[in-house]
Order: sequence, then C-alpha cells, then structure tokens
Amino acid sequence: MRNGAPMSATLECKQVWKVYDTGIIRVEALRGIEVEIHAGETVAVMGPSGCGKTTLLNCLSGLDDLSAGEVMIEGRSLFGKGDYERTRMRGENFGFIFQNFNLIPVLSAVENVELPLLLKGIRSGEAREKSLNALDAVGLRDWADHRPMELSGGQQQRVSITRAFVHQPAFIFADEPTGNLDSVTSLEVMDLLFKFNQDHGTTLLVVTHDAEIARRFDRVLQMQDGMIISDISKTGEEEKSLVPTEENPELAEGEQSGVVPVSGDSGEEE
Amino acid sequence: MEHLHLLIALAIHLGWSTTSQLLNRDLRKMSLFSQLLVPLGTTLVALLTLSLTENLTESVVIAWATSFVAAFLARDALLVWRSPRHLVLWRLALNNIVRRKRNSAIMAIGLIVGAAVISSSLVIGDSLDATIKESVYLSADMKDIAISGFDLSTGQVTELNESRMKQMGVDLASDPDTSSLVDGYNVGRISSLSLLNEAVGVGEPRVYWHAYDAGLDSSGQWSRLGGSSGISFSDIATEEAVSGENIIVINRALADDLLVSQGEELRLSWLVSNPDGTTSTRTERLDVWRIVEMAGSAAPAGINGGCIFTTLATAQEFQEKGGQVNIVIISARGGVEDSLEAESSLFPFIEPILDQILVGDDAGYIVQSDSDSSSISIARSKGPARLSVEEVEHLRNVSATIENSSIIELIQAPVLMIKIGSQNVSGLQSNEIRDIYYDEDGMWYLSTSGITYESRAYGSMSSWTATADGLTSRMVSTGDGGMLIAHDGGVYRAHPDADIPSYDHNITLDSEDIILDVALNSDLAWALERGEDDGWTIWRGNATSEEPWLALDLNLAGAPAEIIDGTLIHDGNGLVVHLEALLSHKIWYVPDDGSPVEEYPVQDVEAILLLGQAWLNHGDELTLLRSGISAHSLGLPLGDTLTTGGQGVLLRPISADGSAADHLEAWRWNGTLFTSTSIAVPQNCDGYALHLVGDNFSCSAESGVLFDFEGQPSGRLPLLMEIEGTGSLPLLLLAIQADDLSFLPHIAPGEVMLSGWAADGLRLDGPTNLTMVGLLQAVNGDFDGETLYYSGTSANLPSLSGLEEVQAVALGLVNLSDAAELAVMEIDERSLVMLAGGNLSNPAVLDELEAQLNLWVDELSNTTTAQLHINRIKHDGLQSAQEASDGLASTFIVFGSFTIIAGMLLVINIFVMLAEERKSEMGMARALGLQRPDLRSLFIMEGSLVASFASLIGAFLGLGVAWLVALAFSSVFSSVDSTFTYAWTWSSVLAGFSFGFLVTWVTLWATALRNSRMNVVAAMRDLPRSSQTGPSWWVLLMIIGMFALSGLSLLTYFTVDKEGEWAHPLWILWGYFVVLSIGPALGYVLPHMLRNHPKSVGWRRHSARNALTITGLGILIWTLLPGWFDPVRDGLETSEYSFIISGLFSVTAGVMLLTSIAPMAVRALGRSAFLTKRFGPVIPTSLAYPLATPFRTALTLGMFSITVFSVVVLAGYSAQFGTFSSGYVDQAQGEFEIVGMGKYTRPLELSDNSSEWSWGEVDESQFDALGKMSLGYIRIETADMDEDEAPYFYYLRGVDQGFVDHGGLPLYLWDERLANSSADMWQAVIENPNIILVDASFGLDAVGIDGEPLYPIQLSIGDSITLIDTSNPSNTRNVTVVGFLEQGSMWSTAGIFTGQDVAADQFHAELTRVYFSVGEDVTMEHRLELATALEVAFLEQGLQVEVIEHQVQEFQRIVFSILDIFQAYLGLGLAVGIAGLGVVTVRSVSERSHQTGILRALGFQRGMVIGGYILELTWVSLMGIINGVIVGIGFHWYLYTKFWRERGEEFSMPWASISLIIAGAYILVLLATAIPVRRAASIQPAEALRDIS
Repeated sequence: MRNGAPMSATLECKQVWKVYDTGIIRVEALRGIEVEIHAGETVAVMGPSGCGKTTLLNCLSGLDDLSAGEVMIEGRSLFGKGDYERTRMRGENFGFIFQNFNLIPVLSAVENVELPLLLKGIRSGEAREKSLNALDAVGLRDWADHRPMELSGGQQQRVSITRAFVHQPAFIFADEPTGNLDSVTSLEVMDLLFKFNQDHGTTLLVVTHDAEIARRFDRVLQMQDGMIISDISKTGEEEKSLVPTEENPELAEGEQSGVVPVSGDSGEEE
Repeated sequence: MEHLHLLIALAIHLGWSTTSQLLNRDLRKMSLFSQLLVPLGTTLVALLTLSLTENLTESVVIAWATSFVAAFLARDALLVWRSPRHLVLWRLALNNIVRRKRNSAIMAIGLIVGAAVISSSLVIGDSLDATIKESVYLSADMKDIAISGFDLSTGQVTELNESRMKQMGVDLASDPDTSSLVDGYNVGRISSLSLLNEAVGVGEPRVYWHAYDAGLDSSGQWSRLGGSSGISFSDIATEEAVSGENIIVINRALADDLLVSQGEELRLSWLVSNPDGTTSTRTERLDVWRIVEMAGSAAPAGINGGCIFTTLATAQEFQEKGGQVNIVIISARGGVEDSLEAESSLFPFIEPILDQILVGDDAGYIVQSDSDSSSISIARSKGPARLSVEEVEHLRNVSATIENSSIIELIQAPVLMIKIGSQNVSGLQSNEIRDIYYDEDGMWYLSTSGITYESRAYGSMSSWTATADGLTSRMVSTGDGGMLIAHDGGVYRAHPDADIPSYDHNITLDSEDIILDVALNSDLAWALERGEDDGWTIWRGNATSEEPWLALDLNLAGAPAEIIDGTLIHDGNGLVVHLEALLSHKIWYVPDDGSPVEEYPVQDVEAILLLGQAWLNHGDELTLLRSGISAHSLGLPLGDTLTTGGQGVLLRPISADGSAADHLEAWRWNGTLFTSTSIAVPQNCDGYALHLVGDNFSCSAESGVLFDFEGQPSGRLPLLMEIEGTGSLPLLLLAIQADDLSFLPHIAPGEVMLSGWAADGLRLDGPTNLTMVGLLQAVNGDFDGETLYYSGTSANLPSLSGLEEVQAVALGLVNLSDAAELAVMEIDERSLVMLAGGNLSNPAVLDELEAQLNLWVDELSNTTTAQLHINRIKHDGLQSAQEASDGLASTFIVFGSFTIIAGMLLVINIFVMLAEERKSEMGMARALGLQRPDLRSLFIMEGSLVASFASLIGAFLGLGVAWLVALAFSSVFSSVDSTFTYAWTWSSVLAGFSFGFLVTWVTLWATALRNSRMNVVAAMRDLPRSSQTGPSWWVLLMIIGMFALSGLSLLTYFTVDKEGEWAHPLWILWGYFVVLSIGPALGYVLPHMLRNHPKSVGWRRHSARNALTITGLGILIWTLLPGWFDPVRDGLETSEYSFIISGLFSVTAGVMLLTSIAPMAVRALGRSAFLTKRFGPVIPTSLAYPLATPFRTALTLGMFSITVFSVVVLAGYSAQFGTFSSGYVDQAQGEFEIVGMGKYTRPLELSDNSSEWSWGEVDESQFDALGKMSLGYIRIETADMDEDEAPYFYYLRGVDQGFVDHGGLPLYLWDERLANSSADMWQAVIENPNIILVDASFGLDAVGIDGEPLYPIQLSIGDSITLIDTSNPSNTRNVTVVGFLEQGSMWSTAGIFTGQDVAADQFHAELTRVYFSVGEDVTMEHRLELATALEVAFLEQGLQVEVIEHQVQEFQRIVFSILDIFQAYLGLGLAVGIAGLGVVTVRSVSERSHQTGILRALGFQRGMVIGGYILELTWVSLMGIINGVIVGIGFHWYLYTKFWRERGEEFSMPWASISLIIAGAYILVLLATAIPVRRAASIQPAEALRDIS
C-alpha cells in the first residue's frame, strides 16, 4: 500500500462506542457498532436525524476518536497507530465528501483538488495536470481557477468529489453529498460517485436520507439511536453486482470471514 | 470675530447632525420635539465641549476632535432616549458587549494601546517643554527685564551711573503707563571672581558674583535667596552693619564645589581696573555667612551654577566702582511664572524711559568749558570715539548763533611711524632712553620698558621686551652683535639675528629676584642680583652657553647685607663691584688672578668703564679706579661729567667765572689722554645716555635720541610718549579748521608742520619729505601712509582746553584731508569741536551754552549710542530655549508619530477583523428586518461605548508610559547636573482620548457602512463581494479624493515659502497623491471600463492586486527619483516633515508590493517540485490566506514595517553618530590632552616663558608641550555677501608657536600646495598673516530642522574673505582660506585661525587658552587630577581647566543615552505590533478552525497545520519586519548621502543590532502566537467540521 496502490481491504468496526460527555449531558452517539465493509462495496447509511450516521462515518474514517471499540482496516487497528499514521492513512487512502462541500475558500478549484495529491508527495506539476484532468472529467475544466465561492453548489460538490477521488483512495466517505443539491444535480453527483466506484473499485460509504439514492447501493445500513438496526444487502433485482465477489453478504449482522478478493481493476499508481 | 470659530462649529455640528437625521427615514417618524432635540442637543454638547477644551488645551485641532467625540456620544445618547428603535439597538449593543467578552476585551485593549501611544508621545513633548521652561524660570526668577551693556571696542561691560539708574526705577514707579506693571526694580553689579577654599585646596576659577542694592531689594517684590525661607540682600546689609565686616553668601552648588560650610573662610580674588587702563588683582579672605539653597533668586546661572552674593555696596567697594552699577533688573507684575503678560505690556515703555534717563556721559560725550579761554569743547570717548558728520553740522549751527564766536574743529590722527626715506625714525620704545650702544650693524637703545634695535642696513627699528614683568636696567654688548641684558626678571640675551638659537632666551638663574647689572669679559659673565629680602648675590656664568650659572662667594669685606642698587663692571683683569646700601656705598675690585680683593670706600660716585678701564665718576671729577689718577690731569677740562659711553664723556664745562657753562661738550678718551671732539653737541641732550665712537655721537634727549653720524645730524622719536599722570600716548598729528585761522599757519594738503620739540628731536634743519603712517591706517593694513612735505616748524599749538595732554604728544599740524586719511575718518568727522571767543567771554553765555550742549548730548544719548541692551530675560529666554529644545522634541515627534501610526493600524486591524467576523450575523439581522442605518447604529454604538472607555483609560495610561520615559531622561540629565521635569497637559490626554476614539469611530463607520450595504444572503453565507460588477463607489471616491489632495498639495506648494520647511514635503506629497490616484485608476478602474476587451476578464480578476502593484511601484519610483529628473525637488530643503512623509510612503509602498506580488512569487516558489515534495501543499495553502485578505495582511505588515523602519533608521543614525563622534576626541584635542580656558574679558596673563608662570603645586616638567591660543571677535564678509545681509560675527583665534610645534589641531582638509602635513600647514599660517584656517562649520552644508542653513557662510579652499574689526569697521584684512579643521573641534574651538600676531596686533585678540600636552600614556584619572591642580595653580588667572577627552565623552554619553531612550520608546511600537499579531492570530485560529478541520480531514498532519500557521505568521511579520529594515536602510543611506557623506564619513550601519532586531522581533512573534497555533493543531477534525455542518 505504501506504493500508493489503492488499498483493497476490509473495514471492520468492532464494538465501537462514541459518547459525548460535557459533564452535564451524556450522549451515546454510537453504541457498540459492529460492522464490516468489504473492498469495492458501496454502502449507504440511513437513519433519522441524530441517529449517529455522521458520527459513524467520522469514527470509521478516523476523523473522530472512539470512546470504546476498534476500527480495523485490513486487520490492523486504525486508532492504535497514533494521530500521525492515522492522518497519513486518511490522506492517502480516504476521500471525503461533505454535505456543505467543505472546500478551502481561499484556494481555487484546482488548488483544492490537488491538495490530496500534494499531500501524497506528488510533484506539483504532475499534481496540477492530474487535477485538471480530473476536473475535466467532471466537466469543470473551465472553472479550475475559480474560488469555491464563485461556483454553484453542484459545481462545488463536483470539485469536492474530484478532490475526494483524485488520489484514487480505497475508501470514499460521503456525508449526505447531495443534501444541499437539487434532484437533478444530486443525480449527476451520485452518477459520478458510482462511476468512480466502477472505474477504480473504490469502496463507498455514503450517508444519505434519500431512499431513491440508497437503492443504488450494494448495501444499506439502517441506524437508530446509535445502533445499526438493519444491514440489507442488495438482492437480485439489481442488474448486477458492481464488484465481483465470491459471495454476496446477505445479513446486516452477517459475520463475514475470509478475504475479500481484490478488485481486478486496481490502477497502477507510481 | 472672537467667536467666529464658535459660529463655524455651530454650523458644522448642526449641519451634520441635521443631515444625518434627515437621511434616516426611521428618525423622521419621531415626534417633532425629538426631531429638533437630537440635532440641537448634539450641537449644544459639541459647542460646550469645544469651549471647555479650548480652555484646557492650546491646540485647536484637539479641541475640535474632542468636540466631535462629545457630539457623537451625545447624539447616540439622545437617540436612545428619544427613539424606541434605538433603545432596542442599544440593548442589543449592550448585550453584544457583555456576551462577547473576549471580542470586547480585544477591542478595548487595542484602543487602550493606541490611545496610550498617542498621549505618551505628546506628554513626553510636554515634559521637554516643562523642563526648558523650568530652567528659564529657575535662573530668571522674578527678573523679567535686564538692562546692561557691553562695549565691543574695549571688551568691557558698560558701567552705568547708580543714581541715574535708581532714578529710572522711580520714573517707572511714577509713570502711569508703567507703575501698575512693575513690582520690583533693582540695580546691581554682576562680575566674576575666583574662589579658593584654602583649607582643602579646592578652587573655582570663575564664579559669578551677584550684588544688588539692599534697599531696592526689600522695597520690591523680589524673591529671597534660597526661596521663601532664605535671606534677602537687606539681610546681608543688616548683618554687615551689625558685624562691621563684609560678608558673603554663596549658593548650594558653589558650596558643594568648594567643599565649604557655613562660617568657613574663602579666599576671593578678582580684577580691578586701574586709572591708567591696566588691571590688577585684589584678594580678600571672607567668611561664608550663609549657604542658600538653589531656590528663589539663588540660582541665576541655573541649577549647577555656583554664585556668590554680596550687597551692592560691598561689591562697589571691593571692585573700586563706587557709584557705578552694570545691571538694572525689572520685575514685571506677577510671580515667577505669571509675569509674561505684564512684561509684554511693560517692555515697549522701557526704552523710551531709559532714553530719557541716559545722559551724554553714558554715551561717552564730553562737554568741557574753560572760562579762561572762553571756550567750550565737545568730544566723544566711547563707541567710535569721534563726532559724526551730523553732530559736527549741529555744532556749526550752534556756533553761528553765538555772536562773534568762532568754531574750531579738530582731527587727531595718531601716528604709528615716521619715515625719512626708508629710515624709520619713530620706533623707540620710549622717549626715556637710559643707555645707547652701537656697532657697525646697528644701534641699541635701552629704556626701562625694553630695548629698541635699529638696523643700519635696513633702517628698520624693532623692539625687544622681556617676557616677564619688570624693568630693564642695563645692557652690555657681547661683542658678537648681541646684548646681555639685566632685567628685573633675569638675565636675557638678545640678538638681532634670529638664527642664533641661544639668543633671546632667558638665562635660567636659580632665582626669581631682580637682576641689577651684568658685566662681561669675553664669554664670562657676571650678574648682580638683589633678593626680595634685599639680600644680594653675584652670579657667574657663560654668556653663550646654556650651562647653569653659579653663585659666587667673593668674600667682600664689609659688604652690606642688604643693598638698594649696585653696579658690576669688568676691566679685563678684574671685576668691579659697586654696592649701594641705604647709608653706604662701597666699591671692591676682585682681580681675576686671585689676588686679594681691593676695597674702595666711596660716597656718591659711580663706577664706569671707558675703553676697558674702570673709572670712578664723582660728578665734578673722574678718577681711574685703581690708581686714583684724576682725569683732569689727563686732559679733561673741569666740569660735570654727565654721562659716559663708548669712548666718550659728556661734559658740562665750567666757565671762566666758575659757573656751569650753558653748553655741552663731548670729550674722547683714547686710553691715555682725553681729547676734545669737533662734534657740536645738541644742547638738548638730557645727560642720561651717550655713546661716542670716533666722530660718531649720539645722546639721549627728552624727545628720544639725537645723532651726529659722520657729520649728519638726525634724531629718533618714540612710538609712545610717557605723559606724567596719564600714561603712554601715541604721537598725534592734528588738523584744525577754524573760522579764524589767523593764530595758525596755513597748512596746505600734503604739507606737515612739526612741533618744535619734534623738529628738534629729529634734528631737521630744512624742508624735507616725511612719510607718516597713521595708527589706524596701519591697523587697516596700510603701512604706506602719507608722504608729506615738511615745510617748517610751527609755533606751539594754541592751548586747547581739554587737550592739555595732547600738547605734549602733538607731533605737528596737517591739512584736514590728510588728517582724515591718517585717522581713517570721513572727511567731515571730527575728533573734537571747540566753540570759543566772542560772547563766550561772558560767563553767563558760556554757562548757558554749556547747559544747552549738555542737553543736546543728553538727547543724543540713548540706549543705542550708550551701547546698552534691554534684555527680555524670560520672554527671550523661553523663546530661545524653546527653539533649542524643538530639535529634541521634533525628533521625538517624528519617531513618536511612527509609533502612533502603528497603534492606529492595530486598532483598525482589530476592527476590520471583528467586523468580518460579524458579517453573517449582521446579514441575519438584516433578514430579520433591521434597516441599514440600524445596523450601522448598532455596530457604532457598540464600538463607541467600548472606545470611549478604552480611549479614556489609554489616554491616562499614556501618562504612565511617558512617566517611565521621563524617568529614563531624568537619569541622563542628572549625569550632567541637570534635571528633567515630568509634566503633562490636558492637550496631550485629550489628544490621546479623542484621536483614539475618532480613529475607532471612523473605522467602525467605514466597516459598518460596507457591511450594511451587503447583500443579505451574501452576508449570511459569508460570501465575498463580487468583483465582477465594477469598481465600488468608495474606490472611485478614494481616487477622486486622492486627485483632489494632489491638487491641494500642489496649490499649497505654490503658496508656501520655497526655502521653508513645508515646500519639500508638499512637493513630494503632491507626487504621492498623484500616484495614489493614478495607480488604482489604471489597475482597478480601467479593466472594469474595458469590459469588452477579450483580456479584460483576467485584468478584472486581478485588478485589486494590479492596482496595489502599480501604486506601490509608483510610490517607490517617486521616492527614489534622482535629483536630475526632478529639479524642483533638488532645489528644496528637506525637513522633518519630509522625513515622516517619505518614510511612511516608502513603507506603504513596500507593504503594497508585499501584499500584491510577493505572495504570488512565493506561492509559485512554494509550488515548486522541490518544496511540494518536501512540504506538500503547506506553502501554497498557508500563503493563500494572507493573499485572500490583502487589507488585513497589509495592516499587519504595515504595523511591523513602520515600527521596524523607525527603529532601523534610529539605530543607523546612532551608529553613524557613533563612528562619526569616535574621532571627536582626537579631532578636538590633537596631541594636547588638557585645555585651560580664560575669558576674553579676563584674559590670561602668561608670559612667553612658561617657566615664569606660577605653577604652584604643579610640576611643569610633566608637560611635554604647551600651546597658547588667543581669542578675538571679528565680523566676516565674503565677496558674494549682499549689502543688506545681516553681519556675521565670529571668533578669531590666534595660535602661538608652541601650539603649532605640537601639531596644532588636526585638519580635515588643507591646501596641499602649501604644506605636506597638517602641522606644516599650521606653521605656514602663523608665518603668513594673509592665510587662515577655519573650523568645519564653514565646510558643512548642513540644514537645521527649520530648513534654514545652520551655517550661513560656506567656504572652500582658496576663497578670500575679509576679517573686520568689530570695534572699528575700517580695520580689515583680506585673507585666503587654506584649510579646514576637523569637525570634532568645532563645538569646543569654533573660529577662524591665524597666527597670534595678526590676531593680537590687528584684532586685539586676548590670550584665553592654554593647551597642555601630557602624553598619551598618562591615565585619565591622572589627567583629571592634573586639571584640578592646574585650576588651583592658576586660580588667580581664572583659568578653567578641562580634560578634553573627558568633556567629549560626556557629550557623547548624553547623545547616546537620548538615542537609546528613543529606541526604547520605538521598541514600544514594535511590542504593540507583536501583541497585535498575537491577538489577530488568536482570532484567525478560531475563525479558521473549520478550515483547519477540513485540512486535517484531507490528511494534513498536525505539524503541517503548525507549519502552515508559522509560515503565514512569518509571512506577515517577517516580511513586515524585513520591509521595514530594507526601507529603513535605504532611508538611512539617503540621510547618509544627504548629511554625512560630504563630511567625509564612512557609511555605517549596525548590522548586528539590525539582525538582532529582526531575530528578536520574529522570535517574539512566534512566542506571542505559540498558544493559538498549538491550539489550532490540536483541533479534532470531526469537531471542527461539526462547527458548521
């Protein structure tokens, strides 16, 4: 993985608890979450407001500390490594998409996009070229030099997605990526996400309220009160599984063992 | 008219408050009462504040500023009261302040700092003012006006008549115009004296002696000596009356200097002038009655000036000046500090009253009547000592009114030299010649005052005077053309040939006593010395060698122990010793071969030598000493032997009838017989001296010396004649014009008629040409004189009353025109006018005329003609002290203004930041229905509330800061025995408060206006303003404003004085404003106007940046524009305002460029492969922030730049001054280490021979060289000086050979064609009277802070200037400048340098300085000890002795300390900047925590976050610092080229300190921001993101 190839690995969540304790109020945002996400899977997380979807996403991606439990990637603890390694792993293997896009306002679109590349240590010229190509791919080549404030919401989210994918991470975490977008734009954005999944085998973990959108995912986790109450895998009514796996997980609590085969389409990187 | 400004204020305040009222639609809904109340109330408060603050402060600007502050606050308060809507806003504002405690605190701190900086700068200025005022008040005390005079021609203080001056006091008290304005009047004497505390051996060479009239002191409102509990002059008088003794009072400073206590004795010595014009020293030992503290009137010379005080009566008695005073003091109504107003009203009356009081005598007019000759004469002794053309004309008119009277007008022309052919015949030292000697080379004439030598070859006469005081007694020829001389001061050798080194030297006898006679036998010489105790010694030594002489014990049997006179002669075989005691004479013969001493008891005889044989002259008989053979038996006829000399005897023979014949005969002794001569001996030979060799004869006469050389009779006259009871007078030629000249021969122009005595004295027997050189002509450098035809002898001159003494020295008569030439007078000027005859023989008419003329001369006498000066002590003192301190104060204000600006920038920065933060909140409020004006009101109300408190606290805090600075100044001042007073004025506090408030208010208003105009949604969503829509109104407004300002500057430039301090600043300001309007127009507005241009998108996108770049570059170019490109600027003088303006604009330009192009460049660099590989996206990301907020970045950059800039410039100045002044010591002292100084009015009386000085305890041998310097006052004229230009007075310094031999003072530049070294140049200057050296001021093209040249006359080598005698403007000398002294000597030894001779002889310079060289290896401690010892040794001379290096160091230390204080104060500005950056960083960290979260989410490590922040901080701080450093260095270079380079100084810059400033400031920035930066790095990404999402 150090060679930069997208990590194709299982993300495993073991008895994850997240408790916010201000001294006055104690909120148990996650209550012993157990879930395993396989490489190349597309997972939607659904649930009512305040059920812990975003917290789960933050904990799985290492953005937030855990109160208890463990998150394992490829059998290794994400939190056991300390902040430096965790941040490095985030930078190289994760991509993030937020509801409010979270672009850096003082940087132009292309500068925002190239951040992950530069963080990976790619030379600036090459990074700029890749970023421009990536923006081209999402139809924003002409807007590359504009600051986020000068772009529409959809454009901003496309920049945000480009930034999340540009360094070809193994995982994409998206927190209601279409929450601030109209339905047409939402559709475009989701297409984009799935296209990346298809092209690069990137694992997608997406929080969404939209059942229509959720339907397009391999697997849907339903949450309530900090717990996953259902984990429904895609049934045969979908045309095909996007990622070739030996077997399709059936159950939400499904204890999956064995190694998930690596997607055949792992782009060679550096 | 007086209240015009109140009317203007009414209009302005009413105007703005009503307008803003009408513009606000909501306010129109208020009741009519309220609508009226708000603007009227606001205006009323403003006007009240204005009149109140006008009483508190002198500054109109500050009063207006404060009135605006009050108006704004009042309007807010009234609106809150009357408008419910504003009440709501007020509550919101209050809530905001209370709830957002941290924001409010930041805002308050920023304001407190800003206000404190402003008020502290001004308070330091107040303190400087107070300090100088205090020193003036301390020394002036109650004295407001002083009247005194100084006569330039004599260098003496003018004496005034005591009773007349007292009458003036009475007049002032009775005159209705002045009586209410005067509350004190006194007359007194101010002089100086030397004091010695003999008990401890400590002396003060020069102490002021103040003496005032005791009666007037107690009747006026005068302070007491030592303050209210002190004593008055009448107390001293009372004590003197009680004790019957004279007493003195001294002040504390003097007591400390002299280590003396009350009741102890001091030795006082001072000079008194004798009637004959000479001076002598008087000494008294007096007890110190009281020591008074330095308060009240006891500190007239300032805090460290020691003074003694006595009553006027005591001073007059001691100084022998009965009835005379030299100062009049007047106290205007009021106390020490509040009398200026009364003084101003009183001053115009003083001169008219004084003019009334002054009489002819005061201006030197002499009116003298003589009833015997029925005449009255008028002359003038003071000032030009002649009657002017108008005065003569008046007297002619007066004469015409007196029946039958005649007028006689007289010119007296003193004569320096009379020549017949090339022979000078009037060079004798005196007319009392006591010995004559001649050989084939020349003639020697001895008088008691010295010896005159006349060269036979050149016809010139030169005088020799012993360096020591005393009389010349005898001379004896050494046979080699020289003379051995017995003088009271020792044995001297004189020789006309200066190349013989052993001559003209004092032979060192181990004695200080009087030498009565010398005798010589080839090289062997003897001297007879009479001791002080009347004992005597005979010395023997070698006449031509330097070996010490030995005292002989001759075993003279029966010799008296004490003698009154004696003679030594040597006849070739033995020494004849003639000793004369009170009651006995005795002569011994001491043979050289050791034979027994022979003894000759004799009475009333003298031993004489004729042709090597010793004789005894009994008067009527001459006998050979050893054989006793009578001369009569050897051929000499009977008669009185008057004198002998050479081979001759001057004899008055006895007639056949046994009585003395009426003629004289000269007899010659040939060794065996006396023979008669054919010489017709002049009958006026006076019998004192004779010399006869062969047929050549000369004798002394009353007129000088008479000759008969080879049958040619001639004579010599003296330079000065001794007149009994008067002293020495020069010979005078007179010219007389009278109505009736019948009593006088007619003298045609070109003719001279000599007095009988003069014609006889010169033995003129027929008409001949005489060349007369007038004394005043010679003084003017004209030694050619007038050649006049001697036509005959006049009868004795008419007896002119008042001119009796003139008769004796009247050489003869000349025509008026020739006399005027000789006396250098205008043709109608007269020395004296006499009215005589006719009705004047009637005593009543004579008396009436005398009274009338006395009235007339009284009228002529006024303040000007009496050479008096009315000195407005406090008024002028405060004014000149103010001018002097303005330099320091304005430097402080220049540098303080940079700190003030830094403080203002901090305030603006904080407000902009807080406003940005509140943007979305304000958008929300708008969405809820708040109107724009409401929003502004809310924002401003909130800010005003904080600002009013914070500014007030800050203004008072500034008092504390200034107090600390004042403490530092105090310590510097106290090291020079001075004090620094801390003082503050309401002006300064109000300025701190109101400017602090107004800057805040304007900032608030501008940001509120901007924010309130924002699109609600954009504001809420924190979106940037669109730059696509075109230039905003305020940019256009700014451009128009700048353009208007440029026009205004240019217009003002044309109206101000082009030589004044504002011309240059206005000119450069014009350029800056032009750039400021063109830059934004080109960079910002133009791209928006060219909307259709294909490239305009890119231009518009970067328009702000481009505008900044263009403007920044423009400013830099305008600043650096070379003189040839801008000739206007080249012709103007820079002032401190130029410094502030160009400094600020240069810094601003740097900031503009740093905020516009530099980040791009660095970002591009940061994107480089190498750096991205290493640091990833850290560099571009972190620099994106300052680039995105250029305004805030610029503020921070500017804050740093300005303070660092000023620190660097000051550090540069310090360093430059340091290098410059490090050479001061050498430049000021040359090879001499110690200098002793006297005063022009009390010159040093030191002979050329230093061994004769009274060295006291000091061992002279420790000095390896001594140099003397004399001082005179002259006026200088250059060829290019205008007629009406103010006369330029300067010092003339004459240096002696000793000074030059030791290298003189170092020269900076000299004419290398004339000399190879500086020492050679000095030598050339004393040899050539027509070349001079000048001090460095003549080469410095320096400009004072007022823009006026500091040194009005600039000279170059080879320039010719004219030196003019101040007392006699016709006495001039044209000289050529051949060199400049180093600058270091300028302060201590300013002047024009020439040889001692020119300075003393032509321009009456007086010896005032002695330089001592002790060698470099003598320690400073020892030098200081020596200086003290020298002061004591030369105390009688009033010699003040200083160690030069010590003095220079003292001066340097003060300058450096002051510069250090400045620097520390500027450091305060830097601290403000750093603290500000800390605050700004805290804010931006919290502002940007969300973005930090994103970056962390994207994979930014903690270190990268920290690195990014540090990089950003580094950018704004370090770039700001470096910008300041670069502009500062550039500026320092500019100052260097302008002020230092031409002085030959090397450029110096304290690189180490500058590195330290950069590093120190940067490290402090990192420390100040460490906490917020660390907090940023520890942000949890999820938490940060949750903030928003």
